[in-house]
Amino acid sequence: MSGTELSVADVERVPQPPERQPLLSVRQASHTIDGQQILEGISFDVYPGEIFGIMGMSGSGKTTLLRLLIGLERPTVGRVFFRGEDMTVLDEDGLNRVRKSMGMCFQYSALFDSMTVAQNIAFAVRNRRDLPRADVERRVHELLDVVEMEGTENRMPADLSGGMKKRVGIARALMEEPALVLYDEPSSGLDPVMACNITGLIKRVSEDRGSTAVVVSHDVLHLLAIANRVLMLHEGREVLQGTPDDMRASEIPIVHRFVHGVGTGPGTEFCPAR
Amino acid sequence: MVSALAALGSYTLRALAFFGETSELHLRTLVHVSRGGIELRPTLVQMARVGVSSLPIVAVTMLFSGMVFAYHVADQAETLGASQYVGWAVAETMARELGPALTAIVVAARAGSAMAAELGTMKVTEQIDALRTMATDPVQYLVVPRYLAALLTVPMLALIADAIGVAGGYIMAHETTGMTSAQYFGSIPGNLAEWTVAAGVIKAVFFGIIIAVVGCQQGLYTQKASEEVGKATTRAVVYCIMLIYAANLVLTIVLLP
Repeated sequence: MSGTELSVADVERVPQPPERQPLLSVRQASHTIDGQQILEGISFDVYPGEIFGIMGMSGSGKTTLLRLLIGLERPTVGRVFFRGEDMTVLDEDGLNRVRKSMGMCFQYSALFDSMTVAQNIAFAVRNRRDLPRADVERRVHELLDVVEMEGTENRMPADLSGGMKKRVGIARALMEEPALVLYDEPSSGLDPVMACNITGLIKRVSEDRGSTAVVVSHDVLHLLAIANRVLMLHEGREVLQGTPDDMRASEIPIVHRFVHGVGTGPGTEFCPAR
Repeated sequence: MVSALAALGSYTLRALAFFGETSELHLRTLVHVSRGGIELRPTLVQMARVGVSSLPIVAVTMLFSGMVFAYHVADQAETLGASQYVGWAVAETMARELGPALTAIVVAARAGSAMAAELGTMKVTEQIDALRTMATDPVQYLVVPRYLAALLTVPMLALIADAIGVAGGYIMAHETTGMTSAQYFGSIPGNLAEWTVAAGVIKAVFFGIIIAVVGCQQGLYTQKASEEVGKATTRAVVYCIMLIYAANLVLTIVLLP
């Protein structure tokens, strides 16, 4: 935990229109694992309804940052605020309360392999006595329609392709109509067509439902196509934060190389630049 | 010398970590149980897996164990002119030791390893994290059903094991010495104390707890690599067996002085 008391009001922020209150705020978050600094001094806000992208090379700390946002890990230093509530001081019961307003799609889907597609999607509400079974089934069907997976209710995760698993993972994350959905590398391991489909699905889901999304990806092309604002990380530190156009126009070498796919080292002259 | 000390230190730290993690997991499990955090369907599923599915191998183990034991005892008893006590000797040994201990070891090898493997696989594939993101405590959802299943079914299996062991003993005693069922079973009621049988069941309760807690602990603390699941599964069985034997010694001294 941080040695200093930080609040959303006290610390320096990225300038914002005064009428917009962030849904999610990160303040000077740093994280160390086994003595290794993974993240250092990360600060940003995510506003309701926007798609916020986090990009960077492999090992830059993107997934770790995502885990901090949903409380799977606590920052060694710094704070994470959700709707103004400091998540870093909450116990697991408190975090569970906050998580009911969040959904997360994992890089490898993390579907429960002993359950059917329908059971996976309905898992979060399995003990909700206020929800009749018929309503749950109807909602599962609706979500499968949204992710274009109609008729797969009784299939097992082992029978699904990678892209199908991603879609079911998205449906599962949306079951409780969360205010914030986190996506960890949603297009990784997918062919270009499927990656485009998943990216389009994320955009459509956010727009249709008015939910906020944080998307972690090293797939620059798709991320910059859908994000409203982007944070780029390198070796655990913030390099640049701004709009996709800011990223494309940046003259910062690491940003430029990453956005335009310019490699370094021998042999990379064969890589086509974007 | 230095490397030996370093290795000793490393083992000591790992042992302390194991006991710490296991104790914490057990405490969290008990808290959930005391708060009523029990889901019936998963518990029943686990009872079927731990108890019902272990019955065949427990039965085979105890049948042959009873036969072997009776083979040795019947021969010696005949020499000493104490053949009329063979049934009791087998029943006493089954109830005190072999029934609960062998049952627990078989269940540890079968169900304890399965717990470690299943939870370990869930850990490396981020399913445990997925549970947490959906406001579900992995201990409440995964460990509590297995804990209750082992706690309830291992004692039942131990009782069944006692009976099968005694029956196996009769088969061998009859085959080797021609002992009748009246001779064999007749010595049991007047000599086998109810407390002896109860003590064996109490032992089995503790053994069941060991199996569930150690199996789940190894699974939940698996490092994120595929080979680690295999290692965790092996460790779960080894640690369970070691702890069962150690607990058996303590419980025998306490319950059957």
